Amino acid sequence: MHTDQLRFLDVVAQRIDFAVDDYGAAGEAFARWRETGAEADREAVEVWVYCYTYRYFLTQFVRERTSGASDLDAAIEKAYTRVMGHLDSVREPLRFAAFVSVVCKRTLLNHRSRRRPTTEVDEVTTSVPPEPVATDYDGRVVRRVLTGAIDALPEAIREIARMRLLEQMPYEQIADRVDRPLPTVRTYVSKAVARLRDDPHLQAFHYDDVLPPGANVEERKK
Amino acid sequence: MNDIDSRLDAYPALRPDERAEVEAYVRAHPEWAGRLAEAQAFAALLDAAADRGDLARYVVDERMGLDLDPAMTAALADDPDLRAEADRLRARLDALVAGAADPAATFERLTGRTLDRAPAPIRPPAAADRAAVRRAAPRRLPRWVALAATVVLVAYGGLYAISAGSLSDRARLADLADLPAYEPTSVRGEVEEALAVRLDATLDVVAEARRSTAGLFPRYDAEALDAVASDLEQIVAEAPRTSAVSQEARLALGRVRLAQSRDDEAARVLGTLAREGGYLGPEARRLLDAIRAGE
Repeated sequence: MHTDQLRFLDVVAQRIDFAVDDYGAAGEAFARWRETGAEADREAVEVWVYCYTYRYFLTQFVRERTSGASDLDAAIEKAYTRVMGHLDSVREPLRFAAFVSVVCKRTLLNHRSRRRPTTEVDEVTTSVPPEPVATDYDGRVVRRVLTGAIDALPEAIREIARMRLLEQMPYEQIADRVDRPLPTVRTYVSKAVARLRDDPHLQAFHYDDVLPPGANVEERKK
Repeated sequence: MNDIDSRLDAYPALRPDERAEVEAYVRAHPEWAGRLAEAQAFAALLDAAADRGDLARYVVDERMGLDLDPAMTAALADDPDLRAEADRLRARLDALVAGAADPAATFERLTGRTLDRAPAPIRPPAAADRAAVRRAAPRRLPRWVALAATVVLVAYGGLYAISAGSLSDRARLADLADLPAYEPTSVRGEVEEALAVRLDATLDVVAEARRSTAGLFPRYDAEALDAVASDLEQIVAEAPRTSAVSQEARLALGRVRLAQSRDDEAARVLGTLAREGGYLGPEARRLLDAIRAGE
């Protein structure tokens, strides 16, 4: 297949009126379909999920250089099927993109886990599941959710959290900017991290937002 | 190290050298390893939000005709090493895509939709391009070829309809086509994660056990289904009773037993699942009702 075939997005994307990386519009299309059940919205959801999934795995596999084309095909199909089979479990339709990104990340981790050779012959001993790394996540989706979570922080720590966690400014620079002692800035950032750790939308990435309806965050932590 | 507890709390916000100090301390004090793993997982999430310099994504977006990160475009213009790395990634992308399935065909297969394959032109081609396009344009097929293709398609469509129609309600109930699409959902510790991966691999075998000719008259290899059922029973025995893995494995086992026409065993497994009232209870109940109705 020639890479011009990647222009399949031209063919596929003609069916939706928003860009593949417009996560807000994807969430709105999903929410509309949930609301009305309209076939046009269902089609938009299918098209977007497929394009997103394709782009996610292509990016990951280009980066990792350890998986082949057949792995790519299998991962795309698996993630797509998984997403479409669990549409009912999406609790916040407008955060649909985050849900899809989590499914893709899980599929990637499972793919890596299966690929990794086990060191023991014993059937009971399985390979250690790989830990997620920053590049497993779709940074743009996470950034969008993290920005929302930081906006919900108390005003006193909000700006400092934004500077450290989103803009990655050095502590010294933040201290200069807000005219506060360095230890105070560090304390504020720690408080912000502690609060963000409990943010349900960020936890959804961390613990996977594909549990059945009704399962709450505390249950997931057990 | 003083106050390792608070350092681990703040780990995602630490500088790289500070994170390295914490990691070195934990290597010497492994009782903190669990906390560190949790902190690292959360740090990976926050790091992803801050990481905007993703060259692999840039290369893929470039090929897909999406909007490009202007900061990366500027960095590429300034940095020859980065350009060389981008070229390596482009070569890797070409190789990967060249061996992969046609994405449009996959889309059609997965969604059941039919695409108009002629993409809308992004911009009017230049005169030289138009000449190239004319040279590359396929010739029209002879009429007899088109007629033969139509006959084959109609014949296949007829066989497909017969194949689908020949499936009894019972066979539809026991259809396992979607089982290989299972993906582990929640993660609650290494044991459950490992079992979830085993379950995933076991259900992939169902796809390999499916036999059909050109997609018609599907059936399953009996020995392979026996092996799947045996593996599922082991997973059920090892998984915590209320875990998602246990519920998914029991539902799958019930369905495999149905496909094997071992209704009593299917009813036993599904009945337990339905009584426990977990999130798969309604689906287990539906299958159970269908068995009892004699479908």
